[in-house]
Amino acid sequence: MENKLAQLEKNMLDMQRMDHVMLMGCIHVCRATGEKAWRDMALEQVRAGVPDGAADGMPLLFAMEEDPAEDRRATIEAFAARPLDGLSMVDAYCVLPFRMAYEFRLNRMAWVSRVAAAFRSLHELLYDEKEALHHASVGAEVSAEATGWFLMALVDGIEQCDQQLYEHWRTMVDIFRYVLRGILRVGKAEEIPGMAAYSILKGIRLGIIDPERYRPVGLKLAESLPQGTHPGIEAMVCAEILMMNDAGR
Amino acid sequence: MKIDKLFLCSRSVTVQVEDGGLYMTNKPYRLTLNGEEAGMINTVVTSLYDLWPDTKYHLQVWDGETLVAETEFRTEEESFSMNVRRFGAVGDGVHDDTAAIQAAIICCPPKGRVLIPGGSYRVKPLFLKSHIRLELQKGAVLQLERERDLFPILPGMIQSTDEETDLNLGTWEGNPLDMFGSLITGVDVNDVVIYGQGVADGMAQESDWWVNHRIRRGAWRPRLLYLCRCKNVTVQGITFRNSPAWNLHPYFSNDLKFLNISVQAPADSPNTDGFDPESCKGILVAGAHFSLGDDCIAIKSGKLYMGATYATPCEDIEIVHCLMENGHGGVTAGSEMAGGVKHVQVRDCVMRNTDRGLRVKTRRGRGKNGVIDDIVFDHVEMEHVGTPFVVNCLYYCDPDGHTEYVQSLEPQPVDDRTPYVGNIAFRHVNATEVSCAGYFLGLPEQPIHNVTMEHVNITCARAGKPMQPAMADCVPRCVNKGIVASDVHKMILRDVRITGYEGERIETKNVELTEE
Repeated sequence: MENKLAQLEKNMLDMQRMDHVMLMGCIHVCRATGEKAWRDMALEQVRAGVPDGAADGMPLLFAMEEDPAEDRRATIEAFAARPLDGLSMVDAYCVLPFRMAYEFRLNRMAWVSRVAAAFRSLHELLYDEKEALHHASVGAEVSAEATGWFLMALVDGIEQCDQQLYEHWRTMVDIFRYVLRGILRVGKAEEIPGMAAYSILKGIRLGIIDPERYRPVGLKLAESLPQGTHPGIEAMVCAEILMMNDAGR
Repeated sequence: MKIDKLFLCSRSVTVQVEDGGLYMTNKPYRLTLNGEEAGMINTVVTSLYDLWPDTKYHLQVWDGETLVAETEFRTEEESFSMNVRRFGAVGDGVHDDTAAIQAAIICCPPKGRVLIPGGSYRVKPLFLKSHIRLELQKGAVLQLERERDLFPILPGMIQSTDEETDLNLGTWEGNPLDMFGSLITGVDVNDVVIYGQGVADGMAQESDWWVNHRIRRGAWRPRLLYLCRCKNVTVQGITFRNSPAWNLHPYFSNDLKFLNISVQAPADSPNTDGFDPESCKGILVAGAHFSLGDDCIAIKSGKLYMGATYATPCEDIEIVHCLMENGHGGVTAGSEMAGGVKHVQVRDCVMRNTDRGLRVKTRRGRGKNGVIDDIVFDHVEMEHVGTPFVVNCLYYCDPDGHTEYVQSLEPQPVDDRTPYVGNIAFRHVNATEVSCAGYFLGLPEQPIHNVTMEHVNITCARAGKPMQPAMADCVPRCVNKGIVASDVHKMILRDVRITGYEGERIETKNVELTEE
């Protein structure tokens, strides 16, 4: 694990600009290890500017906490004011966890219901009433990759939502469980091992899926990451394994 | 004069001596038991302890030398008595007596008694089992462990192995969330009696439960008594004090009696409601005394998820001859009422120095199962109660409580999230030194169906303190105010007298008012 992280760190340091997923991977490893090098790398990227617009709301929240001297509130508010309709799955991953975090940290939870509703709408888009299966599971309109982004959006959104708003938290958890079961049942998880491993291992850490049932699945997927896996996702998986080992799960 | 037996077990009895008094009898009476002096009484509901099992008793009530009432009864049989000292309990307030008392409970055969004699027993949460009687004798104090790290946790939800259903164990403010085990915890038990003149002490004043109480640390705060899916449980005589959070919390439980209990907490202690039945059916509370920092009795049925998923109202509740002092509300319905609150009778009670008498709290978003109906106050005396009657459908609770959706005075669409308030009646109520006679706030799109007040006498305080009668954004602080009602389908007033008010006697908006 240490070798893998060292390699990832080296690769990331070589980059001029990270994309959102890579930056999120960097932040995840920072959270898991508490190491300054990862923190500084993430902050440097945030300071360098926002490469892909609304996608970077979450890194800005990270920077707001880690580097409070700089006022980023106006930028965050601008991101948070954008509509939630018409999101692609990768957009959902970039935007919805940020919006959930924004509600709890800066908006007094006023519109948690809207973020939960956005997750529900996306799920309804993916859900095939006739087949009673997730589209990904019948291999039709929705790709395994899109489902992977959706799972990651869900698990990151759930992490940001306080269980005291239970109906919203539970809405997301139920969708997460449903989608996860669907892709595992039809063997689609192997097409997206990084995304699936991250979602499963994080779901276990958040206590929303049974570790006894899912940990072997998550670890097996994590061990089978192919060459060319996005380094950001690889970093996220490493971060989850580190936290799992730390917690003795 | 009438005497009724409310409850009888192997070692104690509870009777109700009706002489027209509310909570207190109109005069003291002398009791004799099988011809022997058994002390004086001055409360309508009275319990006698230290009886012998399977024994016939003749109880007589005397006014001086005049016999005014009498009854006979035979105590229940008892199989074994398990003194916790035999199991290793020390009772010195230092030694951890949890394992000893828990062992006595687990080993107790059906119809057996677990006896906790005088002494201070430092314990972590104790778990009940079915068909036992747990006696805290006079002088016995169960002291709850102060260190939260030593508590077990009841998970809010556990998913079934086949991932099809959930098991709900813990709960916090209407949601299925992880909570610490409570001082006395019952899960799926039935036929249990907890009785005696002892004390269940939460020791919250000596721990950190009341510090930063809104923050979850490890899990949510424990109660003193928590009954989850229990049936046929009676609690008699026990004093509950200094609870970390709500004192008594029956949850999805049926056929319960709470007799002659006393519930105490400092006036400034946070969320120390006295008795909060949630989604329960068939409850009698008689002769109880509450003196608290929050609602004395709050009848609940969960927030939206629990109301929508389990649709289990809290219903068939009788509250008689109780004294409710201090705190926010005498009897409250809500605000977690998404499963409904129905058929509640409050009779022959006294409320003193509470902010409100009846307090109905709901809001948009509680859901279509959130029906409050058939709430009756009959023969109730209130002294120094800020506002005797409050029905508030715009209650500003929860994170979104101040949003336009919750607080709007314009009609919103009636949908799956709209609650309903049906029939509420007040009869023979006398309230003195109030700030506001009554406040009724319905939803413009779903008015309160019917409020009836008969033979009600309200006197405003001449130098009363300004207060906000209902916690809604549109309600100002006021003093010496009459009745305010908006969005009530029918309001019927018969023989309603209000004195000492300033301004209008009754202010109405969108109310069909009939006064006789």
